[in-house]
Amino acid sequence: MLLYFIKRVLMLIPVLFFVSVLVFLIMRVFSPDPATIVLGQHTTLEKANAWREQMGLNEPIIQQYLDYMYNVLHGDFGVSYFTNTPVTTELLSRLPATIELSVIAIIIASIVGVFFGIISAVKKNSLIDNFTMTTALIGVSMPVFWLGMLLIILFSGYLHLVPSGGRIDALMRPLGGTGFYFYDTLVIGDYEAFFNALQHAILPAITLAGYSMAIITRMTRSSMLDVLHQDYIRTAKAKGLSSYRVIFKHAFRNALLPIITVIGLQFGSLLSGAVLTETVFAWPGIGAYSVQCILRSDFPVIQGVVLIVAFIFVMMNLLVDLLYAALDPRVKYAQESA
Amino acid sequence: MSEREVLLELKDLCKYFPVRSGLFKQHLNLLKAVDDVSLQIYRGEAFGLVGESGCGKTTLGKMIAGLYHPTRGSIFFQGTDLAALKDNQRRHFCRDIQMIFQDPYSSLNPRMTIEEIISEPMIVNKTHKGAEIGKRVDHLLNCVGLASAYKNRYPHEFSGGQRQRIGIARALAVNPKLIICDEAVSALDVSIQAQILNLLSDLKDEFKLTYLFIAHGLAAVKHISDRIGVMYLGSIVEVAPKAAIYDAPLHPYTRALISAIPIMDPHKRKQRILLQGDLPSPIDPPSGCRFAGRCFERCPYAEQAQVLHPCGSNHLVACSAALERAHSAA
Repeated sequence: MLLYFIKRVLMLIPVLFFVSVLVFLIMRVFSPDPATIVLGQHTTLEKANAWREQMGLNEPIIQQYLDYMYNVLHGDFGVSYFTNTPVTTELLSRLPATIELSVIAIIIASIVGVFFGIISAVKKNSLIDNFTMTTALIGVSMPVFWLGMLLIILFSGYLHLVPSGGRIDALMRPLGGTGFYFYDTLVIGDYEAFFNALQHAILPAITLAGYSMAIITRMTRSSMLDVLHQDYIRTAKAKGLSSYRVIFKHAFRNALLPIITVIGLQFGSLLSGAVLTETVFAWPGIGAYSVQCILRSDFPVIQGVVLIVAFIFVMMNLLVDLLYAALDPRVKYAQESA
Repeated sequence: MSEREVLLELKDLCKYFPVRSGLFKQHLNLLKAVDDVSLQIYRGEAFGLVGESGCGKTTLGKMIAGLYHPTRGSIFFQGTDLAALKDNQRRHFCRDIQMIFQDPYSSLNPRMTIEEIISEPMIVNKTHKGAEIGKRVDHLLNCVGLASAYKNRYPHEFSGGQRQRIGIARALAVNPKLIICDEAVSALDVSIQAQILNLLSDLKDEFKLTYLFIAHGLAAVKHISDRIGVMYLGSIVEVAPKAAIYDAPLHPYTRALISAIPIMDPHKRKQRILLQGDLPSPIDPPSGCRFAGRCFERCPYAEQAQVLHPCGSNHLVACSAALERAHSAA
């Protein structure tokens, strides 16, 4: 198991190398010149050239890449062209917002998705199955930004139940702390601020959860249907088990593997920045931030974001694979790698 | 053997599956998997049920085990009509009637250890308690010829024959009175088949079991059965003690099956009866004699529905022509 873990972590290196090369090239080939964006369109050629020289953008591209990677390996992701703050500081201040939102969203999506997926599979072709599957189809097809806007109009615009954007009311923002507002407010015992943060999070979390929820529902349903037709389910019924026990003890445990996979992958993609959701709800996470940075050619930030996202994604995959071994007695990694 | 107690009695048992066809599924047909089957199984006997694939023998077994609801008819088990019970009452009889399944590879839950698999029926049916369960698991494993040290392993660590032994131990766990073996050996190698059959017949005496043996060939049930029923297209065409079935089969279908059993002597040639055509579809089965379309004998009764009639002692046959022949011979 440990050997397998080390092997998988070592595989991170080529993945991150490839991703870094790709993003480095794409930024430099396809993005507009950052100099004119940073200095304004009325700047002179000399000034622009001097800025580029200072930022090292006049070097050959290979030299630029080697310099960048040298710094990255020393823990320095560079400095944002616009704010002049280190990229690590910028990202660390926004990552908690994204993580918080993703965690809430994946919890909602998993609970609702698995629940309705099981019901759909057990009551196949019933009214509730058809209703669930239609809703899931809508969930998969509906553009996220549109769903977000509809929710804002209804719950915020007409019903005034929740705020339309942001993470927390400015006056209640916990100072210092970890940046995870739910955690910070609870630690200092400020329940009013906690509920305020919860109110802010509820709409973006539902919006973000929508797509994943639909995917998880469908995967749960098909996985359960597959297992429910297995011979050992018939055996379980012949043992005289109640249908509740057959469904949860025998069927669900065996159906879990693909469900865990899809939840893990969905969580990975949520963590990598819900670009549209964060933009619609003015959520100060890395999704909305990276959009800004792409629009103004902030090379170091984009490179940093992409590397972190790739890292998170690979780690989520690894986590899912390790969970397999814990869940399925037939999966043994140690034997394979030995 | 004359005063035998009936353990299980089937009366006019039917199972029809609705089959919908057409663009909007507007046409409803009935697939008559089991059609008016009546049968008695005595306590302590091994009853062999044979028939070709799709003749409804597994459906019959599943109805007795409570996995399917009969469409019509009754299943009397020690006097109680199981077909009339609701699910939660029906489940109490799972401790009396257990089933051993055909495929030992897929019929064990891959996530459960052998101990969990064997002890679960005892826990849910509340037949044993606490430390008794662990002891009984060890005992059952020894009975089926497996070391009890294996009980913490998972099914994928065993071979096909070993898995079938686990399946047998599982079925025995709740001390059932009747065990339905649904092609219990047909997925195994021939050498293993013999081992499992021997094991089953040893266990029969030890646990005082009654067997319903379902198989698709007469050769497989010859070894273990006392009486044999032959099924064709959802209904039983002949029931008789083993010797009568093998030595003096009456129904033309049984005669064809007997003639298909290979003989060990290459110098002996036996006239093999080759049936023409295929099994008719159980959707809209032929009216009149069901076997008429494939029967090699011309008889005047093809248009008449054939039901089981007694012919001699303990012999039932659903063929009017065969009955006439038997009577004229006597």
